[in-house]
Amino acid sequence: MWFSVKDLHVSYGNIRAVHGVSFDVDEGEIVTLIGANGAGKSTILNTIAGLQTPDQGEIVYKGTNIAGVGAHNIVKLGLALVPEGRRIFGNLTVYENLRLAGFQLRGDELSRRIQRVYGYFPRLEERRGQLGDTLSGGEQQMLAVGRALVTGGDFMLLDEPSMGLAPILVQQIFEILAEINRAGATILLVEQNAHMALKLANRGYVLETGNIVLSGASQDLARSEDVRKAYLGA
Amino acid sequence: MEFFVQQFFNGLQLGSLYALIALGYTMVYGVLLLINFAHGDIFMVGAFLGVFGSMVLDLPFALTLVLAMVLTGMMGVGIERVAYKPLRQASRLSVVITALGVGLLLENGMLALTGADPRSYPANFIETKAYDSFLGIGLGDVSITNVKILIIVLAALLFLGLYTIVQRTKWGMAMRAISYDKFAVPLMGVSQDQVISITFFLGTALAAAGGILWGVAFPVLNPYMGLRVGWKAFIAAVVGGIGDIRGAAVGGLLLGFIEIFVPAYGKSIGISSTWRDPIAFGLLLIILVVRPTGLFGVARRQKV
Amino acid sequence: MNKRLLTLLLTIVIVMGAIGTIPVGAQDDCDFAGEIYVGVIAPLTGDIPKVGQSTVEAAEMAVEEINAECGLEIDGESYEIVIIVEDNESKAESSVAVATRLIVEEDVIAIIGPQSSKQAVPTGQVANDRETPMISPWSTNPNTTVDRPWVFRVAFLDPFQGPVVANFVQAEFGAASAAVLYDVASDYPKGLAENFRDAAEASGIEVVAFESFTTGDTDFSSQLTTIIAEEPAVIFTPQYYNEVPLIVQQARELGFEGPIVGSDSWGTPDLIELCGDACNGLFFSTHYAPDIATEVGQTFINAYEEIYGAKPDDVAALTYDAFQLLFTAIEDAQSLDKADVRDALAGIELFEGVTGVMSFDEQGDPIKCAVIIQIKDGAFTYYDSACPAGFPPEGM
Ligand SMILES: Nc1ncnc2c1ncn2[C@@H]1O[C@H](COP(=O)(O)OP(=O)(O)OP(=O)(O)O)[C@@H](O)[C@H]1O
Ligand SMILES: [Mg+2]
Repeated sequence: MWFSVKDLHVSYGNIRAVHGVSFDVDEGEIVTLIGANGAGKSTILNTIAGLQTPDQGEIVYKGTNIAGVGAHNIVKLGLALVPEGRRIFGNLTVYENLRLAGFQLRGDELSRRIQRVYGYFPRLEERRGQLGDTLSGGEQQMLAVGRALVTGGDFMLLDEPSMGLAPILVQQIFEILAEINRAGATILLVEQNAHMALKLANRGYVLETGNIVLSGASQDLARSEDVRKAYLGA
Repeated sequence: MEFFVQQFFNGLQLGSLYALIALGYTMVYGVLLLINFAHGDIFMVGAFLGVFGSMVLDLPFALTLVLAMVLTGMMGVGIERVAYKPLRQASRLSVVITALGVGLLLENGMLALTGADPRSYPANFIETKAYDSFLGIGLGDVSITNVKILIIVLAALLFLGLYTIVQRTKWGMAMRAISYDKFAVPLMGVSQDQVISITFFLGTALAAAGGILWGVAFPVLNPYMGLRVGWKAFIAAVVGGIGDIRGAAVGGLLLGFIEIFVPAYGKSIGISSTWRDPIAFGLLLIILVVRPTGLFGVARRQKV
Repeated sequence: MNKRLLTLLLTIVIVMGAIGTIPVGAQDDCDFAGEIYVGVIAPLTGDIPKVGQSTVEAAEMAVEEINAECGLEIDGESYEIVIIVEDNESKAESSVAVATRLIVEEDVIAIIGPQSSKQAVPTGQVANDRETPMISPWSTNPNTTVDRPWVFRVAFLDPFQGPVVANFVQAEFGAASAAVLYDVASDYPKGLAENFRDAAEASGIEVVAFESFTTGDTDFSSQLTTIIAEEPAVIFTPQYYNEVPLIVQQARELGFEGPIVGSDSWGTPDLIELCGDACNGLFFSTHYAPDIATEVGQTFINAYEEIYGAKPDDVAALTYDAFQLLFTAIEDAQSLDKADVRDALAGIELFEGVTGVMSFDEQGDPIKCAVIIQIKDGAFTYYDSACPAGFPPEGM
């Protein structure tokens, strides 16, 4: 497997957030993790990105176990996370946010990637000198995705990129994700908006209080009675 | 007029020194939200390393300055690694107490090392010369010495250098980013520890530069010299808006000018120079009442 | 560490000695009719043991000298002087206790000491209440002697230097104007600054600037700029050795070329090293100079150095003078009655001691000349003595 998580356990002090989760992602896929609030989705993504140390389990990426490796080193392997809540640097300009995202890149590669982001999001180029704090919510989300595009390469983890956005914008972001995927990036997408996510993704996993309870191709999940009831509001 | 010009330069010199020291407080606070109460004592160590460089190694001014800045910077990094890093998750109070403890350690360590007798730099370290004219303008009774110019110019250059680093380089962006949101910084491929180390290095190296220039201007050095100066520079940093380096520079200059101009003109309106400190700090308090975050500070976003 | 150990050992030896009486240097060929006990209270332990050591050294030397000449002669009979040394641990309570013991149990004729005002003030009360003459060599607090007819001192009071320096700058530099820079938060400089100002104005020197700062300040450029703008002939700054270099250097940097003068607080050798060339040639007033020019002074200094291997400090010089004053009074009184000795002390006029010529005023404080020291080629050197107006009278 190109990427796999095996028997992952994560806790915050005494609170056990993830118990024994396993799943995998193949190169070029879009895979989605759906689940209710507090199910442990963000915990899983943060752990993969190295922000959180697992108690137990393996995270194998391109053949090496990266569980417990520090976040800034994981970035070097081509894995980038767009964290929940965007977390852009409000006191830095749009350009500086992107520049910082390319911290480990050399000059020409850096500008090439920033240009690519400007290509996906022309809005960001227009507002390159504006402080992050003063961007609209949608622009901030674009910047968050743009930053991950600069940092990473092959594998993008996105934690609820649609949060707080108008449907039109969600649509736009998802189209761009599809485009990024076509351009070669593998995507692991966490979403509340299961409808959109399942439409975009090839496969999906359903998470409930720290355990995977369902998995399968997106169309099958979208048709599943449980999923429809719980996450699609049908 | 000559009186004013003279006092202006007096204030500029004192303010430049406060600004250099205030920069260290503000940088460290910016990245760690930590008030490094040992900073005044680090400043003292820098001044004493100047004594070491000039008296023991017999180095000229420029080399002594560089040596002291580098060594003090390394010491700053070491202090952070040993004393503060293990406490990153600890309560503010334990960190403050640790910082005070580090300060005491430095003071008493220096006392044990050099004794209580005050020190000064050798006579040939910087030989004071007064200029007759400045930028082609005759100075009359105004006395401007090479020491004043050196302090003002060097402080300005160091500030500009730091400002450039913070504004233009990726390390500077990382520092600003950490001060805004520590959580997301590693996701950019930036090692938080490295950014913190560099911040400490720069902040403490500037304190060393401040210490040596202070020692040139006020050549009576003792292990406790950092206490008062440290507090004043800290206040300057807070008034400027702690976390913002322009604020530290402006706060330092402001404090210097107030300390010079209050006794200079207070008398003519019936205020004796005894009132200098109450007035200086009163003015600063008023600034904080009007702008609680300081001149350049912005209210911190509440983080969850 | 070694030095501490030495001091400790020395102290133990001295304290052990103090338990008994010390008849020092009694001569076999003298036919003594009796002994006269003199109490000595000194800080042998505590925070200033050096002061205690100087006290004991000077006391033993004074007594040895007088006994070598067969003591004091009263009504044709020779009496041997015996000192009883008590340690006050540099504490006020201990000082009061040992003073009481000396008076009640040892029946001393007089007490020399204590040295610090902290102990001299309360101990003076005991001596006065019990009607025993007491001479504090070193205390400078006015309260030690105020309204205590039995208590005297040898050091001049701090404020006394104000008029002395005012006289000096007028005589030496012909100064018609002066400026003062002082620490307003510290009693000693503040008192002295005010005393100097009053005395200077009384003798026709215009005080054109009277500027202050607070303890711990290092930048005096604002005050000095104000001072220099008034063009004073001299600047008087009664500050301490760690402030004087800063003041002098900043004054020079700001273009002041006139003399800068000070008081006894300048007199720590560190000043010379810290100040460097900037302080060369400057003057200050003090109690005593180790290279004092008078004959009495030189004799004492040479003898002391021969015995103890070091130049006597001001404590030793003042203590030695205290003993000479007591001896003079006893011989003048020709009596071993304490009241007679007290009256004789009060009546001493123009006594010539190591620290200068002195008389006592009605409070028991000395009227004497101060020493003017010049900083010259990296050393404190005796320059002149500076006296209050009209003292000593012509012909002395
Ligand atoms: N820092 C933390 N400290 C303690 N508990 C935490 C912490 N972060 C998350 N948790 C707990 O871990 C569990 C999983 O949280 P997580 O954020 O992973 O959920 P999520 O699936 O991302 O939810 P949402 O859809 O609301 O974002 C929750 O019960 C949460 O309360
Ligand atoms: Mg979440």
